[in-house]
Amino acid sequence: MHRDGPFTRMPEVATPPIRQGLLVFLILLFAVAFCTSRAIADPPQQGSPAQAKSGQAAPASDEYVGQDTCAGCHEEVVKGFATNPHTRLAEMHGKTGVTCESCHGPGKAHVDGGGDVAKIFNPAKATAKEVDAKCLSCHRGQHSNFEHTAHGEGNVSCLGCHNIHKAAETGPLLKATQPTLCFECHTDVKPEFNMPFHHKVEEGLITCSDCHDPHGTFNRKNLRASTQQDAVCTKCHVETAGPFVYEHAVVKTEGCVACHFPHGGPNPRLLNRANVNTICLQCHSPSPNFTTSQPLGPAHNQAVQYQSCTICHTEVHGSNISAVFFATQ
Amino acid sequence: MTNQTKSRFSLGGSPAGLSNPRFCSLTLVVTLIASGTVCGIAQQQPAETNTQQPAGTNAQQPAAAQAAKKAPETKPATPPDGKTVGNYRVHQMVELGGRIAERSGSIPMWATMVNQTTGFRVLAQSLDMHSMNTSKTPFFDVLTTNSYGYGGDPYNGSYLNASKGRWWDFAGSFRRDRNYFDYNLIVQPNLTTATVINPPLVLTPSTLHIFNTVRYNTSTLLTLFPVSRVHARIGYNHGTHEGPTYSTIHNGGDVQLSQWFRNSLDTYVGGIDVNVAKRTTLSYDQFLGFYRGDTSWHLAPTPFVLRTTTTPVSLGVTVLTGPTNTGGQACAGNMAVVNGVANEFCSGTIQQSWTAPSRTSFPTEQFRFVSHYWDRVGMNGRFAYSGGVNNINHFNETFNGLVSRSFTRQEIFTGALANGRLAHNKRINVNADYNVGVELTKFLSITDTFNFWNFRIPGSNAVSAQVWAGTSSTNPPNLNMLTPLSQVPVTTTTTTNTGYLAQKNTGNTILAVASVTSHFKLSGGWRFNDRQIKFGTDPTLVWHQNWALVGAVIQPSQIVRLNVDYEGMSSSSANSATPTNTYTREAPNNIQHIVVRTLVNPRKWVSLAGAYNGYYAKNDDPLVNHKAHNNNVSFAAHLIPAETLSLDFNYAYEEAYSRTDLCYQFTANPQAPLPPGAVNAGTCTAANGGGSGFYLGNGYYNSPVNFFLGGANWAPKKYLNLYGAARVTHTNGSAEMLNPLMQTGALGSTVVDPYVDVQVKIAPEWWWHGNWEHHGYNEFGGIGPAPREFHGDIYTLGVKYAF
Repeated sequence: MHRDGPFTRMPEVATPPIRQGLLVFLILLFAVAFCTSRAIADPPQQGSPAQAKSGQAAPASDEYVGQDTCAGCHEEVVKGFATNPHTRLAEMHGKTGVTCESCHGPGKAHVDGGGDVAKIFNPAKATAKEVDAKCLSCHRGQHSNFEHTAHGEGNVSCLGCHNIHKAAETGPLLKATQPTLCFECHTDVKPEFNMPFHHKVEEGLITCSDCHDPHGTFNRKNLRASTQQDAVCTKCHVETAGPFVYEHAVVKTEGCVACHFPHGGPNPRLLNRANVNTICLQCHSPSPNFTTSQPLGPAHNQAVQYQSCTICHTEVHGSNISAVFFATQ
Repeated sequence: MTNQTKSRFSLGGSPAGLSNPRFCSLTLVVTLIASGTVCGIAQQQPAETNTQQPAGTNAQQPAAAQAAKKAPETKPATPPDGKTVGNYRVHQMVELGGRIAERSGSIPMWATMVNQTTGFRVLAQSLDMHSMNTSKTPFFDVLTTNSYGYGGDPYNGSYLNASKGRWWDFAGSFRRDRNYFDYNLIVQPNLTTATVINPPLVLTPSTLHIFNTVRYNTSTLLTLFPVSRVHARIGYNHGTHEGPTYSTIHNGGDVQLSQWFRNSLDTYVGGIDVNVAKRTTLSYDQFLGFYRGDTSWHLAPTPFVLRTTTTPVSLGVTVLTGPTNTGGQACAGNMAVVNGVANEFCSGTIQQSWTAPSRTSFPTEQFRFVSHYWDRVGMNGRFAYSGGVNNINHFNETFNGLVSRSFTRQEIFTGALANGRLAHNKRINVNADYNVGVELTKFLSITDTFNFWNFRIPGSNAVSAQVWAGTSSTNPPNLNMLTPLSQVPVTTTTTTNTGYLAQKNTGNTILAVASVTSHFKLSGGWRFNDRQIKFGTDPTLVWHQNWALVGAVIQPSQIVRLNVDYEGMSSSSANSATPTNTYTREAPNNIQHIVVRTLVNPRKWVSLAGAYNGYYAKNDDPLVNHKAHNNNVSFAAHLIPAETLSLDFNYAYEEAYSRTDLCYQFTANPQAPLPPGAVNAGTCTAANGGGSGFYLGNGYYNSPVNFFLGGANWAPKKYLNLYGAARVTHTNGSAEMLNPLMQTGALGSTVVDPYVDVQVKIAPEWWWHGNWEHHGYNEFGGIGPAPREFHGDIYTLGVKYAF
């Protein structure tokens, strides 16, 4: 089904030497890192946040009982864990690595207490902060922005989206697949993807995480960025990224949302107006102090033809040939 | 593809060829794999008796501790569901079938909004493999793959995930989407009225900018040693967007062009993470992006030919027709085309072609770090530098025909730089972000986030223009589209131009978070942003934006959570060169935004959610009067009253409103009177840069939308599953229409989509699947050039085999 298009050719510029040197440096760096056998064999020694904060000593090894003991009472949970990515922890240390107790803590007291729930860490009963600390003790490197962005600050917690033992989507251990999962809280967004013109999120082609990082980013609304640190829209709508000789400044300074609804809307091309001319004339109308009103828009009779500005001004995202975004000089 | 979209343009392609950076990347991949293999073999250690604990502990586990595991009762792990194949536990599902699509009404709109056709389908496929004994599965422990929509659906995809314990993770995906667009109210050139002299112009039933393109995206990411202190990742992403489209060009007449749209982006990713200390990770990522823009144009098919020849000619999208054969006479006062024959003395286009291959490279370096080394202090940050370079090579634009107002007979534009290069542009981007959070006490913490984003885009072009044009209506005499070029003077000029755009944002956000009680958390803070923009030779404009941030989380129990977030922004000029409080007229200088969300789970089988999202903005410049608001109230319920029954309900009301003073020109005539209330006032007067023919409009736009979704899933027997639902989106909007023939279109519409799904188990591991979807689209405004309503049903029948 996938038809091979033209094989990408390199741009006709010489690769600066510094780029080649950078690649060589990376190769050497990776080789050194990979051949550090102790560093690779041993997992990171993160330490338990609770232990570190309380200054308590780490649990003694005899306080752990092992997965098989957990299965004595929690057979169904342990059975399902075979398909869980966390099972790779069991592969550690000559296949004696702990799994259940990596998250729930040492189980001996819980077992000796006849299943005393107070003697084991139960994420379902814990606060959002405790859950976050537990998960981030391993996953902080991947999700460094979580705690100081919307979901972390809002007490959503990791368990707001993830279910370690009963995941609908086993890879990322999500409670439900996207976008159903996101719409459970973001009920205000769902109707936008059902408007006449919309990004195909409900159809399953695009996911919320294609544009947003639910674990947080440094950008507003947890938006991702393109690899060149441009608006995330340019990941797919790459022809609008430029750079151009004649930039339509508002595209780069105000963003795509100056003219488009990002999720969906009742207007074609997800424009935020039904009439293209109104979008343009909002800015390109006489205003003595605004430099962005130039060139002035009302140069054409709205009573007759030139119904749409984009009949002539086709290159509205930027042009290399025309300062007024014509397709020709 | 729909019936009207049977375009079978073949895809051209330039020869394949490796180039240095890609070769280097491959070398890197080979080196990494080889290094990993060597080190992996070297690290095949026997089981240790004195091992350290995994993440989360620091304790040793001596062999004596093994005895503790034997009491109480232990059970060996039972395998997960599925079949055992070799050393794997396997789940597999494949569903084959087909769709029957029946539709009535507007075919272009069906293709634009639904685009489903009749035919055989591979409806779905999935495969899960999990190792039963990882020591006996050397290549992978886990492999999952799933696909959907192959065979003719407008969008389809495949996903592959695999992993081998602590050695590697792989994630890959392929997605394809066919986009068809023909909404005839957009780029509609002939929505006009008759004048005294000319008969009514013809309305085209389709938009002039139809597109029928396909978007492909392939993404791969390989992570090596994912749970180790040092782990690396290599990735590749390829995206292509291509297909036939129509565009237009303003050159004398407004001419329609056939545009082969073709863009692709290849991105290579390499990265490494190193845990250098306790809870501290340093990361480096290298991105290499290569963009190819190969969109080209030529004249779209035209029904007209030149007199005395059969040469096709386009007279533009506005065509004046009449019964009188006046070929060979001056254009003024006569018809431009009669019975398909164009008057060669009128403006027309015989050839219009354009090619401007664009090549851009985006190398980007990114350093990141995160640390929670100290228990009460967490910090993370990143620095990214991107230096993109773009060249437009082998540029050529050719026009042949006649532009009567400038006596132009032919134009050829090429790039005046080496190799026909037209333009050379750069995009230099620097990002630096840093966050630190300090837990002052058990109840109070403070976070501070610094953001820096600076980009600059210098560009330049050089154009060589050869223009065959007369100097007057008599030089050369009787200039027309059939005049030989040898009789027309030609001039050659070279012009150079430069462009520049830069923006710098420097901001800081400080937020205090107080856990007042275990059920109530309050936050408050301030965000400041210094924004600088320089465009061309204009002076640098500077604004200061101040935000007030307030938030609350109320969580009286595990079953209820209420989140309230408010932010208010004010923007103002920050230097003498900046006379306005915003960069553009429609950008707000004052924003109030409040979001309230609640999640209630009173029972395990009841999940309720609600949200209010209110956004209010304005630009209070007296010549702008911009106001905007978005209000959204929504509610959702998910109920599972029984094991065999689940119910879903969603309702939302969303309203987007905006108004802005704007100016437009309008020459009234008996068929097109001035819009009500049009006056030359406000920003449209000559004193403010307008003119006597400028009228003041308000740019009014309002789109209230009601959305409803209700559905039920019922599985009364193990062999029977029923699902029924209906979705309705009703938009009852209005907007300022500057032309009396403008229509509201989809701004006043209703979309109705009921659907039913039935699955019946017909034999062990075999299911029969039936699905019915209805798509109904209605507008209640004017028809315009052609009706856009449609109704259609899609019947899907399939057989699924799953184990």
